[in-house]
Amino acid sequence: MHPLTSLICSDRCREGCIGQVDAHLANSLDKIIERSRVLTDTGDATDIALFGPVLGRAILEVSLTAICGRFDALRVLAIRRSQLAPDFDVGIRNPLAFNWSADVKGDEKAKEWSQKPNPKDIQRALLSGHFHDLIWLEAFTRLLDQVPSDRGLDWMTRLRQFDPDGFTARMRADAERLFSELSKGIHHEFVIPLTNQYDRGTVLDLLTRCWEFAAIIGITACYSPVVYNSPPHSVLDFFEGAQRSLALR
Amino acid sequence: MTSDVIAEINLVLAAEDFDRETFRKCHRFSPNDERIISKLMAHGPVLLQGSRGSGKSALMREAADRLQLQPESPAVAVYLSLRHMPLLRSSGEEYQRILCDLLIQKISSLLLESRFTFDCDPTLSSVQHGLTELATKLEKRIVLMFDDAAHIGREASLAEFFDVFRTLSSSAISCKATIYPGVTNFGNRFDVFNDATVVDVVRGEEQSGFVEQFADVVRARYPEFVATRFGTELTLEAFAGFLARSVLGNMRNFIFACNYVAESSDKTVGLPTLGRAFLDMTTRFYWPLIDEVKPKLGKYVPIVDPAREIAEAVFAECGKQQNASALIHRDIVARLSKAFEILEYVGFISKREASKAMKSGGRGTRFSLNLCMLLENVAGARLTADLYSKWNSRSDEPVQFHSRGLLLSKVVIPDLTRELEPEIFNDPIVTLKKSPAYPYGLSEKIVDRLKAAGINTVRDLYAAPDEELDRIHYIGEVRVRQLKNAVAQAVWL
Repeated sequence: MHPLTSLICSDRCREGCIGQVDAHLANSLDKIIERSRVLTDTGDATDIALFGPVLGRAILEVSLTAICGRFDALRVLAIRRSQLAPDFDVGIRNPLAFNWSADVKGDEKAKEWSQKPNPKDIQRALLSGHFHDLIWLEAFTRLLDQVPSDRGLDWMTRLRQFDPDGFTARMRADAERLFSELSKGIHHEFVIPLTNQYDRGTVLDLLTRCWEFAAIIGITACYSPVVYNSPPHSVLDFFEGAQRSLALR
Repeated sequence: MTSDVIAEINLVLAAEDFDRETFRKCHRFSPNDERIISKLMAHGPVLLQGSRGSGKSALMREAADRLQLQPESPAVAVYLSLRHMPLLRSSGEEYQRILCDLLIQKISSLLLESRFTFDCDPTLSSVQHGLTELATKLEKRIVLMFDDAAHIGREASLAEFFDVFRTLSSSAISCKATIYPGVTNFGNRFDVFNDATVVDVVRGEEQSGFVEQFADVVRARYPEFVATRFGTELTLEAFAGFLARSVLGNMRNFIFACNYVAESSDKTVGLPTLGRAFLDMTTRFYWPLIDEVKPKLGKYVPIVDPAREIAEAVFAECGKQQNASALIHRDIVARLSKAFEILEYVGFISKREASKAMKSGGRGTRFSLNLCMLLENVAGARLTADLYSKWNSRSDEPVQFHSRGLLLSKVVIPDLTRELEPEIFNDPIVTLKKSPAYPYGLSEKIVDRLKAAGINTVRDLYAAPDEELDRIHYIGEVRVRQLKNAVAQAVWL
């Protein structure tokens, strides 16, 4: 597996139905990362404009689904069950499908803790305020305190400049910008030449940001005590391995 | 290059003052720099943030040059330095009009030798429309690169600038701007994290290509020095890596430091050479620098003295322990935030970790300290082999400054005055005489000639047209350029 895949999906396999979901997501993500790497090395201008945004958004979506599955097995098992149902029809919108607004962003007007939220008020979206308070703040703080100063290469240098209190808000802003910029390249909204907006430099920048975003959310998840993780030295090897492997030539 | 030419080049401090050929000869870029340059060439709004001399302008200029050098490129760059006095002294609609005017002039001059024109009124909507039309005709994206866009202490017009930045950004127009850390006034319409990608220009020894980049810069700028002055005690790479780390990765200060080392009469460069250069830099460059910067900071002028107090306390304590890193409780950093930003700005300290656990509980910000200034505070003030080895390793726990500690608790931030025009404009012209604060300053004779011509203040010189200066005896075209560079260095941060 690509080190970025191992970082996001973990190299510790779970068993049973959730293990099948993990394996499928890891397999998909691995192929997408490899293809994106090949595209940056060998793609011509047209391939890059046409396929770069597709692969970038796929990296975002699959990474976030895999991370969601590590924290919230119930959510991805429910998706699995709905997709295995005999009446599942790809032509009809699946209300249980992974959804950017509900599963990633969350409700911007979520109840504050001081407002005494009840269980259904608790936001389970990955980049929501409640998820930050309960999961990311602790995980990111542990990461900052536990990673030795000589490990992590350039991505870690930048990560050390983040304030833990603002971690999730910053990741949400990055995710939304990336999602929006990539989406315009997928839906062919432009009625002006696509290669002007998605030229080689722009797409390489977008893909680089997607890889780095996925690696950051992946390594931070690995420092959360809520999920079962690989040992810290392996996690750091994956993080550094991903950077070396994805450095643009 | 002859040694005279090289010496002249090494006195040029700002990237925008180089001609293109010399710029290419003197600048080298690390893998991290290449990443930033790619972001500047790519589509999408970017704010490039870094302290004075960190290399923001060089990165922006390189990105602009690369786009010009590729005829098949999907984009065309317009590099515009906003070091322009009327902008500094205006706000609201007037600011927008002046900025639009500058943009129109710049684009028109770029199009002079083409079949295209750029005829717009100096209003935001007209320029926006004109740019979109031009991009359509060129069949290329247009990348607007605003250099020196936002300064700490000069905040009257920042809301207008970011309004322009946001309005002009579109599918055909990419806006990029360089800003200093500590800029907080983005206006009501601009959300810094949603409307742009903020990229920090930080050079740290843990980054890939750090040593190689600085060693390459020494090779490019000081070829004779490299050929004759390095022995076995200190290799070029060891020298460049240690010196770069000592000045916190700040490229401009690195060049200054190299000039100090090159001035030494030692046959080969060793630790004693470096130690003397460090102490010289501290006395003749770093402490005077804070005096030089003070009059430019507008409403933040009263914070310079507390900033100096903090620096003295932190360096004294860390010097006692020979430790190059300080972990300062976040309550202290929050209370004295502007003072810490000023210290970062002048290159005394550099924030390396936003949040780290402290032994006594709580969290703090970790800063790396400038080693030139630290050496002054070490007992004996000598750069010994042990000290060199200690400062080269990164294993030391930082010195901790707790929230209840006495060292920084006495520092008080005074109330800020209303926004003021930088004091430097009202200073007499003699202020710009060559001195530790103005190493690039004017000779006494030149000052006398300027005064005789009725140029009595820094403002008079800044505002004087080139032709007026050219008419003064013994001041020709070359000297006019030097005068303009000197006054720009004094006025701009």
